[in-house]
Amino acid sequence: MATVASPPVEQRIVLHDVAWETYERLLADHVDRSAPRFTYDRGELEILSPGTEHEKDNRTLALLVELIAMELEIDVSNVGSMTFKREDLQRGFEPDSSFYIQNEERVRERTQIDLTSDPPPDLVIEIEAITSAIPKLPLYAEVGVPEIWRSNGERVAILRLREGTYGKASLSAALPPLTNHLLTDFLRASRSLRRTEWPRQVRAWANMSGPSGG
Amino acid sequence: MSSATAARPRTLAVDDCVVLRHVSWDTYEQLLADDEERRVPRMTYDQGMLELVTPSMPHEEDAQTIAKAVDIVAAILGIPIRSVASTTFRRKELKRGFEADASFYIQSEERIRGQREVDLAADPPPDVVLEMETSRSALDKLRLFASMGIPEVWRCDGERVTILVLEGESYRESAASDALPVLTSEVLTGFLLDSRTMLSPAWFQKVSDWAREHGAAAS
Repeated sequence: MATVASPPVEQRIVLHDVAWETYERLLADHVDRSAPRFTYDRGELEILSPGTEHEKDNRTLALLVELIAMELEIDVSNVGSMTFKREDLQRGFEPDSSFYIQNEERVRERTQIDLTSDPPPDLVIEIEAITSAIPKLPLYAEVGVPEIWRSNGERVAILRLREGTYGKASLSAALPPLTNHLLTDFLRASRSLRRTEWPRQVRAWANMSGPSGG
Repeated sequence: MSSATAARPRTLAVDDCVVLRHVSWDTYEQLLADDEERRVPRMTYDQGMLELVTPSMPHEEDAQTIAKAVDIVAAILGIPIRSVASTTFRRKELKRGFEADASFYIQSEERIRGQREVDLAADPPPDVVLEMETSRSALDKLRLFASMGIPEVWRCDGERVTILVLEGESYRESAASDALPVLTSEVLTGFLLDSRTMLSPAWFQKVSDWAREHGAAAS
């Protein structure tokens, strides 16, 4: 029997006319799983098994957030691929990575997030590979995620929510003074640098640009 | 059959496939009930594991070709069959369910005659199921078919059709079908390969002519 862990190639399946209750049952069945990821949008359910390349970039960018936050002494809560759902909107999603930064204090003691009373994550990382059957940005906009870092494997774009839609920005508001160019450079560097050298460079940059260094 | 040689080289179909572990039987049934019109993805449930597969075009096309050949041969030989495609077959007490690439009632046709639905609690399972092997399946389909008492499985890897007949609790390879003895793995493989080099009317004619010859020889 083949293993069902992260396949080398990303796999997606879409189901139609799935009831909200069925979606919630599936989530409940998978309470302590890691992959795959579920996205729900008013009856459409997409199930994604991320490929290894996808996961690698996701982890790199998530590590980048943690390293920089640590150097800049910013409290960040990395909630990974947590499920965010709103029954009233009939929508739910599990980002590749998600973080509370500006709102970290408001969710500090939480083990579960309820989007009807809690804030959405301040930052979401989205690795795009195969075109998704359910566009994610409208979902993120609907629940008010303020910032997305979206990587297409080559470049990282920073998308900021303005009046209900996302527009490209060069500067991150979630983790300034990061820019889209720096993110792209760091992601590329992660592929060629030694495993220990890359975090050193990230930290050095953070030190230079942080409050103490800059 | 010997004319069919110039087939395109093939590998196992690359289907979209996702496996969910820890899916309860109730969730599986709920998923089946939510969209009764669903053709894809095909769902296989095996004791908590749910595999969802959206077949690729070559996979679908090959399955259709083999199903058509069965339909033509049975019709010309005057054998009543029911071709029930990817109908969902499930057994709650076994916690297993599947949707094959094609499925047929042949010997058991009479037992479900006139029925629009089958319920495995009372009705027999299909006599033959067709399984297009895919590169990504994580489930042991043969074990599942055996546990559900499917008498015959035809497996196709895109190049060859293999006939497997249930013997006790496992399958053994057989040259010919038990359900439709005129059909051998060689004949089915030939029809499949022919379909790739012939235009569909000529292929239809060839399969029909073959069946007529065999019908005449058998009677």
